[in-house]
Amino acid sequence: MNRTPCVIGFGMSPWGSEWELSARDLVARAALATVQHAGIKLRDIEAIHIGSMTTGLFTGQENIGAYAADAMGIPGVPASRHEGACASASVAFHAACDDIASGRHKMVFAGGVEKMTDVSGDGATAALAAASEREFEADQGATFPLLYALMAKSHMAAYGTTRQMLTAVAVKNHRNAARNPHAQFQSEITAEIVESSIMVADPLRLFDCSPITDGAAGLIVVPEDVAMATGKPYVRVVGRGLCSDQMFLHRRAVLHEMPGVKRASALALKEAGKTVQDMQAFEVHDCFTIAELTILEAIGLFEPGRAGAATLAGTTAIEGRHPVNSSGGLKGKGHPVGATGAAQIGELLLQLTGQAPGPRQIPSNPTIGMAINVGGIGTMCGATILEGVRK
Amino acid sequence: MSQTIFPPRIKRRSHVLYHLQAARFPSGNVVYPPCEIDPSTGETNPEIIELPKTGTVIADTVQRIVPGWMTLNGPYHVVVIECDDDKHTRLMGQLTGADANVDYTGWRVQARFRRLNSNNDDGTIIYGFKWEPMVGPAFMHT
Repeated sequence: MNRTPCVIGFGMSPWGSEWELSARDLVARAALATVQHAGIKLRDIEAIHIGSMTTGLFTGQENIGAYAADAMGIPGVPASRHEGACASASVAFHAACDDIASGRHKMVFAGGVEKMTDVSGDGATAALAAASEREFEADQGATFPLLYALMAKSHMAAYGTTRQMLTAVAVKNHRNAARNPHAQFQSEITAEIVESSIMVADPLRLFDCSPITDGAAGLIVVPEDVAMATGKPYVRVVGRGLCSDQMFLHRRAVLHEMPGVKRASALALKEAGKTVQDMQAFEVHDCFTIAELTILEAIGLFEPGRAGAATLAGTTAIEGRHPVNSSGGLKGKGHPVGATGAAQIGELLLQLTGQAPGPRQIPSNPTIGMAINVGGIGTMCGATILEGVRK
Repeated sequence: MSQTIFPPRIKRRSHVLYHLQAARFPSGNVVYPPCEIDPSTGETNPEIIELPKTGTVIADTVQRIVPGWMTLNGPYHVVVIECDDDKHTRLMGQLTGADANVDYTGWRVQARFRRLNSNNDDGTIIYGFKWEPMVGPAFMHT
């Protein structure tokens, strides 16, 4: 039996300000879309691993494993909730892969959910701040935009990174999102719009920040013999890395670097027997525009300080040499924090098997790609390398 | 939006916030705030020390949209400071007496005991150190 974990299905609920949908509804919609794509039934699922960052603070609901099983109409299956801040869904996905690799299960649902608009903007900011060091940093007034702003300032000072480079990330990802019917933002934006948006924390403006999003996403993970038997395209999980890092930003040797991302991506590449230059598509965690640049440098795709210029030059555009965030990324597609990692992997499933619809398909038809899902300021990172098997 | 800050949480942090305490481990590593285990080396048995009340700003940003849990009304600086101890121990703090339109990176700063926050449901007030720029060219870090 070939126990290499493979992904055969991906689905999303609507993503956006979905006031009419509860977390339960979001999970149900994502699960239905996922099993439909996989060509299976909900009752075929043997276990559930679901990521959720802080549903308790957003909605008051905990016990999310059982809640998801109930929402999916399959109470009785083992169901676990995984939390790793914005990397929660990657943590869940890696647990699902372990279920498959160990032989414990043959068909596992991995996904994530976050219902963020049941609280005010302030409430959401406070809930998200729970992923930072709460007792000391948050009480000094640190918010996530502020922490990433400090990283941006450090990056700018070290390499001469410019506002124009940050803007280029936002413009590119919104352009990609405009081609994604599931994206929260369906329209392109110009550099002028980004540059005239309100300053949140210097130098990050509103359009440097990913939005508040309701949403869920799901994946069906199976061993390769099951994947092959479906007769449908699938992706093989050929490399995985999951790393944590220190909670305090001020304790980092270099404020703008993400050692956890570096370690996680190196582990995944080693397991896959590949280099980062072998990767043909990337979904990376652009919770803020500066994050996309620092991650692309941390994984070694670009030398430190070079990702901004590469973005300006179009290297990371969908038609570029290294396509990044064809889905629209967190910036354009939306960022329901507990679900984001699952949607990144799902986008790669579509891209690496030629299933991305219409103009969203990367023209070079990639067959191998990497997802980088980050929690906090890089305090948790899930790196996943997928290889497409087309039928 | 305010938040609940129970007195025990304030009490257990008070020695750190009121005295700027840090942990010095046998290897010489200094960690702020103090902890039982050095997160870099895994060392234990730290000595509690007080950090100097002066330092240099190494990164500066201004939060323009103030979260509801902060008492402050206007934009505020949050900075990363290297203290003037032999290890240049870093910490994060707010600036006080600062101009929101100035980037204080490279400036010398001194600690000032201030109210940090009081926006909570229990009437508790959190005190601790903010950092004041040392004004004048003589204090500029070169």
